[in-house]
Amino acid sequence: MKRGILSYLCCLVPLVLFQACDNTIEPLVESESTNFALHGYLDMRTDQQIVRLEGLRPNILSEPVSLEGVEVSTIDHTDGTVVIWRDSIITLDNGTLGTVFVANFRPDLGHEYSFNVGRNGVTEGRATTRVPEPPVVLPATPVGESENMKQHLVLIGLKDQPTKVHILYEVSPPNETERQVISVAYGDPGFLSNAGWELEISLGIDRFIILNALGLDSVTQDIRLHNVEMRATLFSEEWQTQGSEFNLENAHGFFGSIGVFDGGWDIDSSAVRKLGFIDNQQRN
Amino acid sequence: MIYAGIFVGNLLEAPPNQALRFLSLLVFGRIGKSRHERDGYGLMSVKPIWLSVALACFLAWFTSPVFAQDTSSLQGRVLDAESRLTLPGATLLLTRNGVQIGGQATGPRGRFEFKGLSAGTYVLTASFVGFQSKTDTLDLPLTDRLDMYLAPVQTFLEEILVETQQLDESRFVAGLETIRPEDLSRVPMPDVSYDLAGYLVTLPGVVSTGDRGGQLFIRGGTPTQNLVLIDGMRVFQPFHVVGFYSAFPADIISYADVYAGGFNARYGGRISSVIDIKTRNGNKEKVEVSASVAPFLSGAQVSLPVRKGDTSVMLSVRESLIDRVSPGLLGSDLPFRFGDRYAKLHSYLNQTSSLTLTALQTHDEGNLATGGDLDPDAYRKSTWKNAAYGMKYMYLPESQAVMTSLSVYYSSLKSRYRPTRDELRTSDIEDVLMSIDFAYLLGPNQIHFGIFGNTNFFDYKLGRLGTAGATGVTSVGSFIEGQFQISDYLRIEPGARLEIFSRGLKNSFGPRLRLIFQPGGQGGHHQFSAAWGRYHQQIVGLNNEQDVSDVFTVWAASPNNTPVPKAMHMMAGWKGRPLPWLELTTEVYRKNLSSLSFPVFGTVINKVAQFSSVNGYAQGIDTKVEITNQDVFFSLSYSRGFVEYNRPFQRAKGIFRPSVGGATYLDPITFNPPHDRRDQVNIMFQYQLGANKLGVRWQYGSGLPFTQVNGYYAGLSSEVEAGNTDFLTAPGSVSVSRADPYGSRLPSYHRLDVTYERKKTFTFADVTAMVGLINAYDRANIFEYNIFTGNRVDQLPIIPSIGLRVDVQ
Repeated sequence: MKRGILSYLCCLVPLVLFQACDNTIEPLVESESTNFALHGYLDMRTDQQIVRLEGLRPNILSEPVSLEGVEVSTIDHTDGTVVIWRDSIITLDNGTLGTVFVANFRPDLGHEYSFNVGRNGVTEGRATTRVPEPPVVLPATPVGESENMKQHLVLIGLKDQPTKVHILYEVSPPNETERQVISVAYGDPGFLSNAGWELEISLGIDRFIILNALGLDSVTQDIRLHNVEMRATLFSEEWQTQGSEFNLENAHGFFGSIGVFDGGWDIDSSAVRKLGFIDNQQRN
Repeated sequence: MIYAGIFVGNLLEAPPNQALRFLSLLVFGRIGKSRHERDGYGLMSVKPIWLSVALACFLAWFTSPVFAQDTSSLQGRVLDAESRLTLPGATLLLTRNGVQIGGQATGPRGRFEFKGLSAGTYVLTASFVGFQSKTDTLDLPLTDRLDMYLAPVQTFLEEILVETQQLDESRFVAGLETIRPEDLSRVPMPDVSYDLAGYLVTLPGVVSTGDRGGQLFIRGGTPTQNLVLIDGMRVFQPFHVVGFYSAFPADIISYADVYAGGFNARYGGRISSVIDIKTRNGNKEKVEVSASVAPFLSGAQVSLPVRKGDTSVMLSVRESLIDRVSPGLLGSDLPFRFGDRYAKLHSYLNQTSSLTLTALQTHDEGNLATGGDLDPDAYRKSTWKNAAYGMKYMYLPESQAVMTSLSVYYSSLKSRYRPTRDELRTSDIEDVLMSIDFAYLLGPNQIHFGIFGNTNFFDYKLGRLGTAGATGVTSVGSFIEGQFQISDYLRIEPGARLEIFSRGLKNSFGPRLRLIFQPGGQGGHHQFSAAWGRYHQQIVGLNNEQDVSDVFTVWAASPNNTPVPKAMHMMAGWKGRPLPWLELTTEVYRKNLSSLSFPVFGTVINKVAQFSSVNGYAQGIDTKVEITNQDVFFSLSYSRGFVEYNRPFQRAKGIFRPSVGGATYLDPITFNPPHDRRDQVNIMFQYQLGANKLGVRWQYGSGLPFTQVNGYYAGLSSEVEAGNTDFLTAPGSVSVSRADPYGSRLPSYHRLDVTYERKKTFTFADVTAMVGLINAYDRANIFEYNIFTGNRVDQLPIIPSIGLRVDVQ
């Protein structure tokens, strides 16, 4: 028994000392998969999508990690479309090289997309985004006379600020059949309410803008109004929490989406007449 | 085996140095000698006899009353020499060969009894308020009964305080360690003077993250959760930038009470621990001057009577030299500069009152940068200055046993931090405290009651981000605590503290309770103690705990819209003195913590951290063995601890604002914070032979948690703008991807320190020379790994130390 205890101690003491002598530190996690950093967004306003991709480096001064063999694709989880992205080398502002991935497609409103990065068919990093749903435009009855006429709109279902809002008037000058679209910029108007996003358009002032754009004087009558619609840029929720990375898996950076909404409505005929227009809207 | 048992039984009664030699021979034997050769102890066999020795000790321990045929008891009474009336509550101190055997207070009939005493010569000292102390020498078992008659005299307050300290010294209280100057001198230091910080890190349950930065974690609590007082003055940053030193040199200390938890109601405003330092008074009879020179720290101290017998002044000044000598001494730069000054005036105004004026100033400056090849211009310059001033008036009327004290204190801390050369962060805090305390001295019982008012001012600016604030908080409160000797076996110490705050801060009420149980009555060999309490901390300090080189702390009132940090402490322990020279202590503890602020991991270097609210707990067991006699001191302590935090789902907060830089939501996680050291061992040995003293210390600590890194990338999230593709070619900012928080451990830490001193006495002075080695086997203990620069920084290498000290009287 004495020898047993002695043997135990002879084994234990060196083990303790060995462990205490170990002085190494492993700052990097050993992992076979490469984590990525990606920055970019899907943009409905363009046919070409670009995302910058980078593999995590072992230290801050090391060369960019090679992305050879990396496969990038997006999946449209609404209709199942898969798009394969191709890589392209770019020169950064500091003279070093970087890598972007490019794809030719245009995302759709309300669709959910995943951006997948991997090798050999295995997804190693992933980002998701949902292009905002198109809101329903609910117009109120215009109020006011001619120059002061305004109309209140509610964009039902919209929870975030629409930006770069334009009201598009499709009109024909008197005695002409050709149609022209006059765009009136409204910037980033409105406010959020329980119903959605609410904003007000100034029909009376827009009339003057239209006349001016057509080169007509303010007393001109008989302008035919064919169509009124709104165009707005909508941002996905990732833009509100930029940097939180909640929609990224095994990845860092930012990934969101931008949608463009076009939605029209009919203005009441009597209001059209008060504006001095001829109502030629094709009512739905 | 019986022979071995009897022999070991006698061995246990032998002086400890002989005992240690004997045990070492038994254990290791004598190499090369015949197994049947006798040595000086008459052994037949020198072969190691592990099992026999262990069993013999076991038999000797539990049958010691059988073998100890000459144990006896000493009993008697303490009486008034004039009236012949007995004196309940008188203090008795029993020593043998200079070692304290026991202490107790007389019971209701003035009686005392010390049990289990072996034959020999003892010294018994009796003292009581208003009477002259008396000392008798007696031989047991010849004298087993002794009545001591004390002559009444007028007593100065200091004697009352000394008596109170003696009473406390013999009592074991869970969570409390009382440190004396002689304890400090047992720790090898890089210079010839000693310091409280050097001893604190030897205590079980105290974790230091390194030899720079001055951060101490006590039983799971962080530095900003510790309350440090010197003569009642608060010190917000009490430890110097070099971890060996604090603002408290050993020369000025009378004693220090270190509450690792479970502190009583007179202390408040912190949720982890209390270090309450009492300084000694200057010499009222003669001038004392001492000076020391050493590479790390040099200093001088003067103590002199202003009015002989009544008033004294004590001055202490220390200044570091390490930044100037390190290139030659160590071959590398140590860009640290620090120093402290202390002054105290103490005066007995008359027989019943005294006045104390104190002042403390410290300064620290250091560049804790971890540069290297990856970041040669790394810059982390920290500076801080403490200032504290205090006045205390004490009054003890002749006819009443009620001590009244009136105190006014002012403390401030000014911190400056440059994370880069062109960014400055500042944080200032000022504290004014006024209090009136009453101590009712009722023999063995005491009641303490106090009322206080406190005002704090905070002012901080956090560099480029522009976060700044200037606020103040005022509070009033009171506390009451009692010490009641229920019987010879049981003492209870209940207490409560109430504090009411301005600015809408929630009021705090903290109940406290301590129990002390002595199975053998007062003077027995074993004591059990337990402590419990609830604590709040309305004034919080925020720092970037994840970066050990970032010691900058922002002090401010806890924000109105967040819960105040709270804790509940539970601890219980046992202290035994089975032999006059052997003391054993074991203590278990648990602290439940809630609403603590913990930094959120940042991805960008030098970015001010956001904070989250975490809950958690700290628990563990601390054990210590001490062997003490005139020449030899040996101490072995071991602590096993566990600290865990959990963070529920929440939104990150900026410093005292709902958020900084947009809404960041945090997933729930559970982790061990960076001060969670699981195992810690401290072994100290000191041998004094005449004028020579050898000190050795070995310490071990298991690795601290740290967060591994997945890798680095160019951070562009803030540069991505809709419709603008500039971000595609932007270089971005260096960002780090981290793995699971604190999911890995640093290497373990251990170090051997050795010092040798020799003292020579001359006519007018004592001269002490010291040589030594700190980190004698040059262990490369890691201080930090900087994940942004990839640079590893180690703690101090082997340091040859030399010092000279002169004490003139």
